[in-house]
Amino acid sequence: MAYDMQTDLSQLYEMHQGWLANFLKKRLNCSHRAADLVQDTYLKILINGKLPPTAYARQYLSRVAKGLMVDHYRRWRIEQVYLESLQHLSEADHGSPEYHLQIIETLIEIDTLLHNLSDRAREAFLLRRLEGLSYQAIALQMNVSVSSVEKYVAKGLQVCAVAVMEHAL
Amino acid sequence: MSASRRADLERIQQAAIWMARLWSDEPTQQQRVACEAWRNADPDNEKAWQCTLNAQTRLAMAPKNSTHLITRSRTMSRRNMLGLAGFGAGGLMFAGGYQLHDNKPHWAGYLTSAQLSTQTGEIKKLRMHNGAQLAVNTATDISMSAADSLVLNDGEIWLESRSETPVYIDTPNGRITHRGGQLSVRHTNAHSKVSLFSGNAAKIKGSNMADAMLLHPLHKIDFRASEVGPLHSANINDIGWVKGKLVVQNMPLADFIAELSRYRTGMLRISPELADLSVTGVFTLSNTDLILQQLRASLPIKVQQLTRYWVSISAV
Repeated sequence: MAYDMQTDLSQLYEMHQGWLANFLKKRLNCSHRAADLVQDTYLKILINGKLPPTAYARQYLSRVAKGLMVDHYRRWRIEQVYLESLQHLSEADHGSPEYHLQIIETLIEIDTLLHNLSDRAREAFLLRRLEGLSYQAIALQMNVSVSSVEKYVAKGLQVCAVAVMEHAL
Repeated sequence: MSASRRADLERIQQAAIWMARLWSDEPTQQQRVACEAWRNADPDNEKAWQCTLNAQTRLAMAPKNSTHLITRSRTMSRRNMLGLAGFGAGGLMFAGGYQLHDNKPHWAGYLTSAQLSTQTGEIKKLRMHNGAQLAVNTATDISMSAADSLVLNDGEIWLESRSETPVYIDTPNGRITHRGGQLSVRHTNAHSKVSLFSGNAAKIKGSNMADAMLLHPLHKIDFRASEVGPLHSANINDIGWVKGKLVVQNMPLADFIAELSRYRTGMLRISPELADLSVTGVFTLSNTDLILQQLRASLPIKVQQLTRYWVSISAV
């Protein structure tokens, strides 16, 4: 790859990084976080290896940046909740930082995977798949019918399988 | 959408419906038989079934109580996040040896070497009193000789300054004058490498050079006390570490291992015949053991770990 990609990316950076930083600063209300996000955005494009046509450069940059904001938000909210749950454990139960990071990564992966499900379908599917609850118990807990639970679980299975199929392409 | 893709998606949907039925509390014999029949009816049905089944292995890693954590996290307000410092790295990264920069200046006067320098594997982010952001990479020996001067004895830094007021960075090879923008400086193995990503041209003067040279944005150069190397394009990969990532494209394995060694205590040995294997990827620096596992998974190598501090990599 690479030399050309590198040159083009450098041009993209040179031409638009100031604009992107400003664009993000307005949304985040913080220039430092915006600067971080600018770096992340270019890094992401570098990793993807996909450069936009010149005319759409800014649209593309802002879309990648917004995607990263969603990712950051996801990571943040999962870390918060996970850290909170650790506080209820005794010191002895605390694993290594690597162990906690691994769990957080797993939770983020699952959350991303199930992002497009409705809240109810996501909850029903996870209760069956991860906690091993019966359809009956889930129906009771969520106050829905057993046949709805079955439909929710099917939706969850479908979303996971489609993600795997598309990843394999 | 192509017709074959639509057919694939429909089959997956069917497979999911069958599986959800069999996961129910008491699936009947009749349902089992019907599902079998559907799978046997077409090899593509069976493929969709296997795909649906395989997709579930991903979720096997999740700890108990994940449902509650995920559901609850989705009720957190985004507004709360925006009030917090440190976008890229969360609280746990802190435990892993990262330091978040916060919004207030860290110091009013000079920073000592103890405050600035890093241990192996540590990455620090700090704010200088002039508002510049400073990131200090692993195993870096650095101090501040004046309010606007940094002395980099060994290691690597990244500096972003919005002001044109010069900041001086001295390495054992000479002086770099930075006048705003994003700059990285690395001094390892007696070479000083400077990359300028944005901002105004930086001035570079080796201690035995008669004249200074100008380094313009998007360029990188390697210099010693009396000579400069050829000019190259600056490479954003080189500052992946600022985000805690090691980013490489087609890097020879020997060079990759040398890079990785900077972040790890102990010996990392590699058999010479593997030196030219090519590595591409984005690796998370906070867990170098995991990086070794990832290498093993993608290259024809075996990784023998005699102790945590003695790892040797040889051909399979």
